Amino acid sequence: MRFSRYPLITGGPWLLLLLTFFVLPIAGLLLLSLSPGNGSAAAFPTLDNYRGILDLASGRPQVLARTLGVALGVVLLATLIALPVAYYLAKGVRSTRLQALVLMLVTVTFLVGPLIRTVSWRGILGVKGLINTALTSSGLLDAPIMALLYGRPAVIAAMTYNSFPFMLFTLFLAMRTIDDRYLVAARDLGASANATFWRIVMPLAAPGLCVGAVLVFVPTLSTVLEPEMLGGTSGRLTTTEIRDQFFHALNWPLGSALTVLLIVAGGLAVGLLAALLALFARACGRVGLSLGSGGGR
Amino acid sequence: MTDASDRLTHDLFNGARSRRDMLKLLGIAGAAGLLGGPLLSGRAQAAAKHFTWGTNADYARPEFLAPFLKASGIEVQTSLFADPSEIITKLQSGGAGVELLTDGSYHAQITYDAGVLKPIDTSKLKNWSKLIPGFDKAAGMIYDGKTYGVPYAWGTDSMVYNHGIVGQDVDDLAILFDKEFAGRIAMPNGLFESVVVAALYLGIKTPFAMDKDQLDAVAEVLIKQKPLVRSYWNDIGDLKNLMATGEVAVCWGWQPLLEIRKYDVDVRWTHPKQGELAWYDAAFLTRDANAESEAACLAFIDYLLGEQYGAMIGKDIGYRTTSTAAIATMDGKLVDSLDLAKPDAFLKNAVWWTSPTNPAGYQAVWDKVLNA
Amino acid sequence: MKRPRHPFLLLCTLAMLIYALVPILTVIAFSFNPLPFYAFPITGFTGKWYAALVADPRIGASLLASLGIATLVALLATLLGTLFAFFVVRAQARFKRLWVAFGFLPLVVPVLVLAAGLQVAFVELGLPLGYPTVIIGHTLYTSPFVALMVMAQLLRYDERLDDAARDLGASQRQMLRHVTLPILWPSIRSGLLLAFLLSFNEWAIAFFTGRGFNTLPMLIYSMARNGLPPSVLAYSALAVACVLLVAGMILPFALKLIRGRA
Repeated sequence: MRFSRYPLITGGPWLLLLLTFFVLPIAGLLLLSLSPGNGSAAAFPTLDNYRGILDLASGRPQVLARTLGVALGVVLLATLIALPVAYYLAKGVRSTRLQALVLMLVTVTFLVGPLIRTVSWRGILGVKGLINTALTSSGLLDAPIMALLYGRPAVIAAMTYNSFPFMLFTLFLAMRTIDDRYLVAARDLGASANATFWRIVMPLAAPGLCVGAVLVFVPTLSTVLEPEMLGGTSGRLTTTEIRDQFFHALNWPLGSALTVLLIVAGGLAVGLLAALLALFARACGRVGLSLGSGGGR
Repeated sequence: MTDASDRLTHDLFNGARSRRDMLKLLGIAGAAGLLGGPLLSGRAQAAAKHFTWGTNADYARPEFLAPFLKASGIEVQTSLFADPSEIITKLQSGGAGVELLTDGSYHAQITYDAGVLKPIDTSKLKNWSKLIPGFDKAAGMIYDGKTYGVPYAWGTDSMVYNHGIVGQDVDDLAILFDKEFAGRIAMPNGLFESVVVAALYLGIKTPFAMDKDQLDAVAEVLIKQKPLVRSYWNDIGDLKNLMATGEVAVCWGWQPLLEIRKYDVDVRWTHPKQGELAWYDAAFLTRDANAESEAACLAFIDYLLGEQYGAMIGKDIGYRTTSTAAIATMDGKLVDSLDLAKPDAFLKNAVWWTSPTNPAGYQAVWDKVLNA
Repeated sequence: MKRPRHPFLLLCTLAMLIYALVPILTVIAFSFNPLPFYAFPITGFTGKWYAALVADPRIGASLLASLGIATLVALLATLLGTLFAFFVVRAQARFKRLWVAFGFLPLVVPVLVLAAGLQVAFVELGLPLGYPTVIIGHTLYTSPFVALMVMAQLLRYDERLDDAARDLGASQRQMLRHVTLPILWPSIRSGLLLAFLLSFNEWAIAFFTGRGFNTLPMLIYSMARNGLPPSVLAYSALAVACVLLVAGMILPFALKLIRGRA
């Protein structure tokens, strides 16, 4: 037996930490979500909060759907941005110096915290922002485009900005570990560049894609900054609702129910994402690739 | 522990739970079930030589606190928040170690209801008599006949407009709801403020204690206004930007906004005929304070009401002090620019902005507007 | 080998770099702008925001707090997360799927709620709030990210390499040290960096479970309420410049590491 197979050594420390400190808040969340909200006359175990948030007339299910949709959209955008770059860096650039330089430039931007990263988009998308100033002063436009800032496009641009590097790193790592000889063999067997990419590189990089998707999806789902700072009147997402219920209305039961719903929806979406990517990887060619929580080979 | 646990269990199943009790119950269950008892029972010994002030970064600039340390030898440690609701949530859960708290009239009732405050014995404050008359019994600081807060800064929230764009003097909130300025209006996002503004606009006499019909009317007005609004602003930096660039012509804002006048932007403060919202930020003592740190906190409150602090916040960050002692030391131009010579006249149209009697109901209205 | 050098890929990379860097470059530009607004055109050149930055000792103090926390958290989370990745990919255990799902649960809990809940848990368990509680909280928050990072590579790890090492007479320790960990090193290193950055930028857990200090995000969020002062932009510009400088100095060393493992 090798150590890495001992569940107690590998899983023990982390799971013990979770059992000690994490179970309590989660249990509290569940219990609170079942207790009557402010001003409610119901008795302890009640589903009133859940009924309230699942009521279509409250607009909340729509907001939840929008929240999930935005997060999935961000995953898609991040993938589109990261995929060609990761491939180019991992397999197109021979110089490790150049690889390191590009990745480092992207990493360094993260030292500028999320608040400033987000606010900086006002300086780019605003009426007197970089884009509008450039377009109007060069005479390409007579009037600035108002719709750039304060709305969903700005929120999505900033959310993607704040999360795509996770996708870039995981994809780069996954592609870099692909043995070059596979690619050589594919070419020797007469595969086109496209076929090599889709039938060799993508399936082998699928775990990276899957992990990257989760790394982008999850923080995007729980952020409040971008919708607050850049959303204008259409910035409402489930997380900002949760924040308001906990901090402003002090209605913890309702806030807890919303949180539980978001956790369940987020968990389902992550599972679905993993399953879809597994399907995709299979469709790309290689069968039997293990993904997600499967037991290795 | 068992007694408390029994009581809480009893309360729980009789439907009389507060959130705090709920958490306690969970905590006891968790501690008993997981560890069989507390891991550590360490409790920091609060010494009178320092205490912790929960406040925002501007009130606690190092240069504002230095004279106090020098004079009293007491060090003010800070726990900085962006919004008072955050620190209240933290205080409620216990162990926060924040002995003195800055909170506003607009939020004080919620904080009091959360059960985290301790009354202040104003007879122990030697500068209590220095308060501008009226501030010693302003709405929101006295509960059950006891004083809980000592106001040290004040101002109003009101309509502000860019005169260059609007082109005329205005004193009617109707322009915030006017199609003429579609896309060039900004309204606040936090603290149910927009809900209250709409109530003022509708002429509702009790904007902080609205009934169901009034709340419905407010929701309707705000939903109708929503397409005209450029942004629900969250931070004053955003609003300054919007007003300074002319992107927004008229907004509901607060005082630091006027700073942009320094940069030749002709923004003007209004005293709308429907009213404006007067607020104060006050120092509140919390239940985390013990006898020793309480003495240190009271000494610091005296400092907040003394000659130096009020003059510094007026000069450096444009906040109005509540202390007549500080006003006396300020130069005339500063006093005029802050309207501190005749606070009564300035507050003629204002109502004291207190927290709503029914925050959940107000939140429901604001939810409806945001989700619309 | 013929390398994919399609101009399209190069173009995508350049576009990505522009997307990644332009916001930061505007921040740097505004940090020298005399007007405190985020609007073009830039009206002049001033160093006054940098002077204001140096005059406020709180930024230095909170930066130290954040760096200290993030360093410890990065080490702890890397250890726990890497081990857990082995559990997910290799271990055999009863109800493993459930344990794995439980292990990744912190990921989907909104941080704000996690933070408020953790404070209650710490207080009721009798742990006084302070640096240790923030470090525990951040470790809970970041470890699953590290685990995911490492898993991405571990899933493709050929265990026959380990078998070969053992067949050649390597002990457990030698195998780990000379085979397994070096191969996984790039993803472990990325996990470490990720945990550091997540902790360094985290506000909610630091606010709710800390006591007696303000981290950098706490200070900046509090300042932002009354309008983000350009001195914060000045700080950002300086931080980026410092890191680039340091990175430039250690780059040859880092390259050696990368090349050595490739």
